[in-house]
Amino acid sequence: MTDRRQVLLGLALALGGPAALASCDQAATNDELLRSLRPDGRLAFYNTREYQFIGVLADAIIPTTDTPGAVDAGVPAYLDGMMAAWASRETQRQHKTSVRDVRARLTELGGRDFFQLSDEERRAAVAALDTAAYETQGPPTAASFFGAAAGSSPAPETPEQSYRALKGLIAQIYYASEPGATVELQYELVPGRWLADAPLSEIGRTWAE
Amino acid sequence: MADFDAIVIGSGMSGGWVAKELCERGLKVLVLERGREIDPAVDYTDHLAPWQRPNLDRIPEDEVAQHYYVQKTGVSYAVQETTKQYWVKDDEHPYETAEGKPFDWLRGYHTAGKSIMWSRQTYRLGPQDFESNKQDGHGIDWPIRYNDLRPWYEHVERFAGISGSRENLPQLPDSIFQPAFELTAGEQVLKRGVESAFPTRKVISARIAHLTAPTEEQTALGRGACQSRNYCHRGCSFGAYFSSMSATLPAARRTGNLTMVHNAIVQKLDYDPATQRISGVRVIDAQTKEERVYTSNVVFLNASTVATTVLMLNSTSETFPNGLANRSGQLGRNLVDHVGQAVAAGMVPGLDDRYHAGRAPGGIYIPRYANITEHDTDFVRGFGFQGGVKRQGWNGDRAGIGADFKTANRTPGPWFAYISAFGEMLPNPDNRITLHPTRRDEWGMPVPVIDCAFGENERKMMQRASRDAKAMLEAAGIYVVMSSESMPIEMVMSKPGNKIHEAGTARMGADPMQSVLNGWNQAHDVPNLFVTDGASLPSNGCQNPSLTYMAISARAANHAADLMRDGAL
Repeated sequence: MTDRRQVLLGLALALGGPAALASCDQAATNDELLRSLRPDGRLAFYNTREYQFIGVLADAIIPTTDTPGAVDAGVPAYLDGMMAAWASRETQRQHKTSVRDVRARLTELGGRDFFQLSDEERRAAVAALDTAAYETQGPPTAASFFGAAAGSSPAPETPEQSYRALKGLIAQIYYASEPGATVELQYELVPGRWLADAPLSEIGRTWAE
Repeated sequence: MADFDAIVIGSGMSGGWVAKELCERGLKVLVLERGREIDPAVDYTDHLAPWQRPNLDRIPEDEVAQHYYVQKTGVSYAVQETTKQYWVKDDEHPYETAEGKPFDWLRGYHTAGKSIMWSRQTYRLGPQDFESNKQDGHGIDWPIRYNDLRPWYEHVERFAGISGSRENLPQLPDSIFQPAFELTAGEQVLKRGVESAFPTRKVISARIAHLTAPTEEQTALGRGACQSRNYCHRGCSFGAYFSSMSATLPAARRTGNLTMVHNAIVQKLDYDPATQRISGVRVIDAQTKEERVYTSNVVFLNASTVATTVLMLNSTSETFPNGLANRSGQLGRNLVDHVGQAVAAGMVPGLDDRYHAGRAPGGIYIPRYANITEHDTDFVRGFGFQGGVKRQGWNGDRAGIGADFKTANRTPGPWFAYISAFGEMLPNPDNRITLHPTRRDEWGMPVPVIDCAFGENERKMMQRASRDAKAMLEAAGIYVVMSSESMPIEMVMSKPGNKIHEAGTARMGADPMQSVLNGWNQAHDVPNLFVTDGASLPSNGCQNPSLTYMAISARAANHAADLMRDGAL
């Protein structure tokens, strides 16, 4: 397993290296996203660079498609506020370490600073980290069922674990957001009925709760 | 001349019922609630959509560490940012436990008490539960039998509204039901699998105190049908689940006979040796600390098991130096809860094309079979299971990014099944509540010291329940991903108190030298004192106890009203 991961990372690096050289003046697409990630007011928790990193990462994981993406849904600002208001000092410290570690690993995978990459390279780097983070995943475990109830999970130790924890948070905030719950998925504040057993085709998408 | 005909101490599950019954009998009733007044328009948070709940509904970590370290750990599923107003701040309401014997005392101080936050599971005790103490010698015999309580079960069920299915099970008698919540496709798989592999076991729809076909009496109180939101722990603006707030207190209030005072912490009941009765109820105001005394012809204690016990232990006098009505020495002893956490969980294969809509507020129940229909056990009494089988939603911890990740989450996840045991705990005089000799809370009340542990019978029961849980899921073809079977038994056992079904510390019985109350929940030695919360039960069955508290409260209240009518009180 370790061998396969090393090969994979090597492949990403090999692809990222030359691409990095070729894309020095191709940062225009990034700028658009980064411009949109200028915080409106003062940030409560992140510094501007961290905030933009969360935004870029969230955009790679849950981009705008035919439905709104994580940035459209306000995930970076929500997370910024939540880390300031909810997290203890220790959790804040761990979280900042996680953000730093994930960014460092993506920089490694991309061949140069994550912010300097083109959209495509960024996605490739996140995809490579995602693959590495899940390749050791065995069959479903109790943890993978209950994992969404974050807060109780142990502090991540590797960049891969940090990435999964960040991804989980981003997803949780996205699917709890109004666009995530009502446009991407479907949500009923007051269902008004219990339909215990129906064809999925009639119900359509996953329910947000 | 007394201030009131009756004083009811506590406005929760049992106190609400006493207030309603006494008020409807024409008596002037004062309800003393130690907590603040809840205003549903302000306090209920059931109208908040996910994006309106702050911080993913998480209570700030520092706030948990400071105020909710017991409540949050004990009831993580129900103690959230939008529900924390219903749970006590642990630092303000201390208690102690014996060394090495943790006990979760989980509670809320406000109008309607835990009837706001309960999980609404509603089961009658069966005939066996009134006879088990006598049969196996643990605890003392109940002074009443199932048939004494049966009409009162019917009485409270009609009013409260219970959804469930008729099953004709002798050990779990049917209630008067409104239509049950139907089983999901996954729950039907579990039912078929379990019932064909184990012919004497049943998988039934959970019986819950939710209106599914409200009666005129219920709608007249402003209650409506359950909307399948499953946001019940936030309070229900529809009044669709039973609580004192939605049902009994409004019924009491409309008689014009109810007076309710909040922030009234009862410190002591005064006993008059000349009349051998309670002569006054001493109260301290939670906010102003002002002290006052109320008087009444009769006093009902419904403060919840631990608090009722503390109050009685604190009400000492020359006649009762060891606590009010405690000639037997049993006050504070025989503390029971339910034992739990034998669990199995897994995935139901297939059914990819089935789903559900709405959010059912209950799941399934597997009634007790151990020592009922199956006698191959190394323990006495038994356990039931609560559980459910529903489809998982989105999964943020799945491989993939981008459009693929989004698309994958548009399809609901696997069918997830779990069942979790609730077992009966044997009454044991060594499991007891005492008062700390010196430590007092902010209002001058002695801090309780709880000394309570499970015994060998509970451990054997949970070992068996762990094995059974796994075997039942497997019999239904469910792929088990988590089972307590392989865990050391000490890791399986819940903490005493954690099931929030504490009972037993002022038990009823025929013999005044062995019990605190008679068969009408009336103190043997103090005729105008009644206790009808969990403290009064000689044993606790394995069923969720609230329905029994309701029935026994209504029965005792009507008995007291009869006595008053006849001039006997």
